[in-house]
Amino acid sequence: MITVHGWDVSQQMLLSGIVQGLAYAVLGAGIVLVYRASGVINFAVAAFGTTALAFMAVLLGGGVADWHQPFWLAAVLATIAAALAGSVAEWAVIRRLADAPRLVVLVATIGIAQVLLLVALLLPDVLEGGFFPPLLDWTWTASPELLVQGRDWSVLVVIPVLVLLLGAFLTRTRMGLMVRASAANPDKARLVGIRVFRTANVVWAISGALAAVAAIALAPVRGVSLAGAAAAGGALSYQLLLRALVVALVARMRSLPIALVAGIGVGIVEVILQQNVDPSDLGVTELCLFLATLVIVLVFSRLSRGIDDGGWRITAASPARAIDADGPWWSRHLGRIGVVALFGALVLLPVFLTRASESFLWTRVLIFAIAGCSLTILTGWAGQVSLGQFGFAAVGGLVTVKLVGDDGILGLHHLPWGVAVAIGVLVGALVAVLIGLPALRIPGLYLAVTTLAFAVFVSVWLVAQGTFLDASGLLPTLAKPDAGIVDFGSRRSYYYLCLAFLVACVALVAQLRHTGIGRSVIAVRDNPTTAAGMTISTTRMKLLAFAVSGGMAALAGCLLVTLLPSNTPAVTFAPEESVKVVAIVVIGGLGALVGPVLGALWVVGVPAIWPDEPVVPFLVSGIGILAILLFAPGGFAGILRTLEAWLLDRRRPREAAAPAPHLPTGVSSAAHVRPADAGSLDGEGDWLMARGITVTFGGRVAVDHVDLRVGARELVGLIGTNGAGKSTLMNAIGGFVPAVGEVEVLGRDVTDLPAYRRHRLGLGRTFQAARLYDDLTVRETVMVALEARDRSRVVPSMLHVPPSPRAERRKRAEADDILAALGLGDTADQPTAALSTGTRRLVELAGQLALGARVVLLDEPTAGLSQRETEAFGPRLREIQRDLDAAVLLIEHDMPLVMSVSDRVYCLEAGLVIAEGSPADVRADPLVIASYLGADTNA
Amino acid sequence: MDDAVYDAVEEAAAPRLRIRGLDAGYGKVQVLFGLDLDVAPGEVVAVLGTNGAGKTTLLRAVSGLLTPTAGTIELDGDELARVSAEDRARRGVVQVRGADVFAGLTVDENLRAALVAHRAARRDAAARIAHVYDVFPALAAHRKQDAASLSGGEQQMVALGCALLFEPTVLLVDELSLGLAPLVVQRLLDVLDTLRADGQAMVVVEQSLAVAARLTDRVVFVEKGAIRFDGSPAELTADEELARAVFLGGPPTPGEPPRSSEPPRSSELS
Repeated sequence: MITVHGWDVSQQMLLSGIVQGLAYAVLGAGIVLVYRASGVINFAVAAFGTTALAFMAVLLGGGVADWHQPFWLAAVLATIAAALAGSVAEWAVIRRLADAPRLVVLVATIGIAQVLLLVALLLPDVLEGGFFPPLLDWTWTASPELLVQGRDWSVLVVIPVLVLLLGAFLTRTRMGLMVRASAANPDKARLVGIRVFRTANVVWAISGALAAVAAIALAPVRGVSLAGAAAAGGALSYQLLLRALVVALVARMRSLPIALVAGIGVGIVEVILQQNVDPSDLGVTELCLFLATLVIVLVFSRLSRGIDDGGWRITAASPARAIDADGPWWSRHLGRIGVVALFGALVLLPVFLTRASESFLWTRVLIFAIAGCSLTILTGWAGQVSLGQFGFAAVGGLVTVKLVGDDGILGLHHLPWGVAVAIGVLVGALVAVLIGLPALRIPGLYLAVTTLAFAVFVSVWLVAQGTFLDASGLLPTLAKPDAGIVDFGSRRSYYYLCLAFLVACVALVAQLRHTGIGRSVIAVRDNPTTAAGMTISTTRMKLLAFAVSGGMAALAGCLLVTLLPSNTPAVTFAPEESVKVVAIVVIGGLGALVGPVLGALWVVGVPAIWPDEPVVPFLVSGIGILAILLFAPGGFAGILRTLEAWLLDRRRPREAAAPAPHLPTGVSSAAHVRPADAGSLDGEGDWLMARGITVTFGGRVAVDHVDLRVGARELVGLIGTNGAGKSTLMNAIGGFVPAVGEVEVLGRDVTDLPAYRRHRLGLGRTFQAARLYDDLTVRETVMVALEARDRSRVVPSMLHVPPSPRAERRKRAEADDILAALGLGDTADQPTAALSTGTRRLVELAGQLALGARVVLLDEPTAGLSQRETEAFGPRLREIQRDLDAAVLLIEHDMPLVMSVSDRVYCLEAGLVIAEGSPADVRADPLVIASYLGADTNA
Repeated sequence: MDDAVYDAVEEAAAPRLRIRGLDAGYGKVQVLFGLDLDVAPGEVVAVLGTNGAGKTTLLRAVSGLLTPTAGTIELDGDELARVSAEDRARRGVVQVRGADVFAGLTVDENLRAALVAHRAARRDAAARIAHVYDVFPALAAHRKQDAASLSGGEQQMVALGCALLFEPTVLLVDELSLGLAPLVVQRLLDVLDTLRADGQAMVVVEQSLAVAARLTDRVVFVEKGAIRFDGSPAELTADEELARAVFLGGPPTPGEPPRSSEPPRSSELS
């Protein structure tokens, strides 16, 4: 035993640290393998282990007749079963989501985990007691202080051997070569004939087997009993999962040797911590892990550029519903009728509830629906998956309990319930913003890990703090609010109070969606670059989404602690509940207004009908998530919408859909839509001036000291071959890539400003891909651009109070003016994803009109247009430039177009300007000809 | 060489690769618009065109990495629409893209991984890999090194070396000369020359007309996702005005219409 800075460290502690750490290492290695093969963080990894262990317990413990399999045989069978389960999971789920964003696949792995736990529960009961025996039965007394028992040996021997075998498989076998090749470069692997799906399947099988071996080796160390093997998959599994995730993150999702070392490190630190802190404060490990996760994730994100970090996007653009103005009234208001019917049913529900426990359970459904609403904004709109909503709920609940109670916080105590809840909601929002801060920097997959760490830390450490608990270690019972006129003390009246809160939350979400705030949040998710080009601040919108979401989750927490008579907060706010909230919104339909309500009725309501069946919750949420993700990505709400469309279609034969306008011509002048405040500029000097712009990518100079100017109302072309640096130069001017050099827009130095600020000063930008915001309609897209001049305010937008309603009406009218001027009036209500490329280009330009941009950067506006559309584009471009009264910088590969519309042309090659002048001069320049025809390699 | 030309003429009725009315793109952005192209056995076709014209998209559609939205691709008369990229590779559709290697795998492993799916070729793998090292002695010195740590030219050699391991039915080469020193380009072109002499059918995507002219007598020029010119490089270079019209826009000679919507065909020009 030695003492370091007051910390006791013994050999025995090191030994048990190594033993535990090896198990984490194996799970971490499983996560790394799957990540490399499928690009997804496998949240089901621990569940594979749990299920294998439960299966093995059945084999050993003889739930069925007199099964008493030899121990080793049982272990091998359980491992094979886990490998098969991994293989099936890949084949049935992961492969089918190959084209989905990785975040969607991540949630699918949560569904897989639930199904696995369901399988574990469905296995026959184990009748025999006793603990899991160790794999090896050796004992060695190394010294009086160090005893190495059989359970230690089994880990110390089996796991290193396993990792060595895995290494040998990867480096020495043909299959291993295929696995590594597919992980390194999936496209190239396919091009040499390697079946990438098949290798991914092998990897999933291996990862399942690894989890099984880890669980079997660790069971005796953790003292798991045969009968309790299935139940061990509860709270424990999230703590185990978190450790494995930290290990995988330290290994940067790549290196197996580092995973091994990191696992041992985590294990040793954990054991030393737990032996040295107060026994009542064991959760401190979770606090450390949470902080470690934050640090690692922030460091890691800087090392991993270019990782697929697409937000949650699954809602296929719903077809524009043509509302038949002449139809019967019900056909025009079908959606509204549905919402009213749903809430009407919720109002009538208590009449049919006879027992008090029932009304308790259904109140819980409403509270989960409120928690679900919080994810509508955060995940449905902002695209951020949070696995920590019940962490925020716990914060809100605990604050309320404290403020209402005797001790209080900061001298505030015995507050009325309503005031305490309001403060709880504010604190919840604040904490959510703090948790959201890293989200600005890290890809969505890692945010899921961070929020899970937060949920585990809250449920294990925070809620165990003595200050919140009464003498028996429970949260004190909270008196239900008494509003004077109405006493909410009865269960039924409290049900109605929660229903009122739910209606308020749904109304708030509905209200926000129709304001600039909601549109901007969705715009930032769908296309952060274009949103910045339309002057929307990504930071502000993401943090706003976190704040509103955290506040709503905290409200759910407040309502929950008031509902539950003295409860164990570690159970009330367990990480499982956060996962349940994700299941609710996925199943109900993400982003849809009533989605959380439908989802909560399914995920929490259906188990409330059979409260004594432990299997039902896993059944509805696990199977529910997978079925919805695979077959009906829109959730219940999406299914209802399809039904509605079918109903309306059946009622009247659909007229032949009018063809989308193909670059409509004969446009009236759009001059009248010019923003009033952007009066004509007197200065006839250069409107855009770039000096000495240099951009380097990892040592390669992409743009090399380029000077470029665009005069007042000038149209300047920028040409050059593939890789010459044209788009990079444009990105540098717009502030989208870090660059050296100075940029002036309309005489103002913008060199040090971020992209969205530059664009507020009159810079406009369109992008090569013409990807707008898939989930917004054409009108909404233009209204997002109008935010540049008329920014929506948060609180008025939420509450629908002045100036919000008038501002919204004004923007809508202005957007309609612009669309009409460009001949896009018919498309106003269509989602932009449904438009042809040509029409989307026009919508982009409509956005520039709305911005009131004076210096417009156009990146290949004819990419993806047919020859005919391209030829029509030139005159339109001149027309729009006149309407905007703007200077234009145009990147274009269509030479006839660029040569015919430009006043001047720059030609770039290898990041340098090689020619500048009138179109005729540049076309005749020998350097330009050589650049295009490749005459230089003729020699 | 003569035999190859003879064979090409003989089998002209049954092209190795036959592409008709190909439409393809990425999501909503359509890149190819009804592209037609035939490649005879033993023929080398150089595909020219500016950035975004659709050259690479064409190769991705042929190799199966991209599913076309319309049109047909036939290999020796077999429709490929329902054949996966992996199975096309097994049928000998081999694509060489830029400096495309398996990063994190050694040069040796890169070559072995390229062979691993080809049962027949796997039997004499060692001899085939040795052959690649004969062709590119520069690689032999680095065989135990991570391919990602090699220079751009050496990575390109690894990528091309993967194609030399067996006898492709049709070899697709994407942007061989991009960003490489002239000397390295020369070396790679020599290898392609040898392949052509052996009667290898190839589609070579290039930016540089000079490089294309060095390789073949048939260039096609792709613009806006369709073929605008199909003829010999000599026709393109001999008439500088035409070349400039194709590459840089504007009227070929004063007095002529700016640009007819029909591309000039080689027959009309000679």
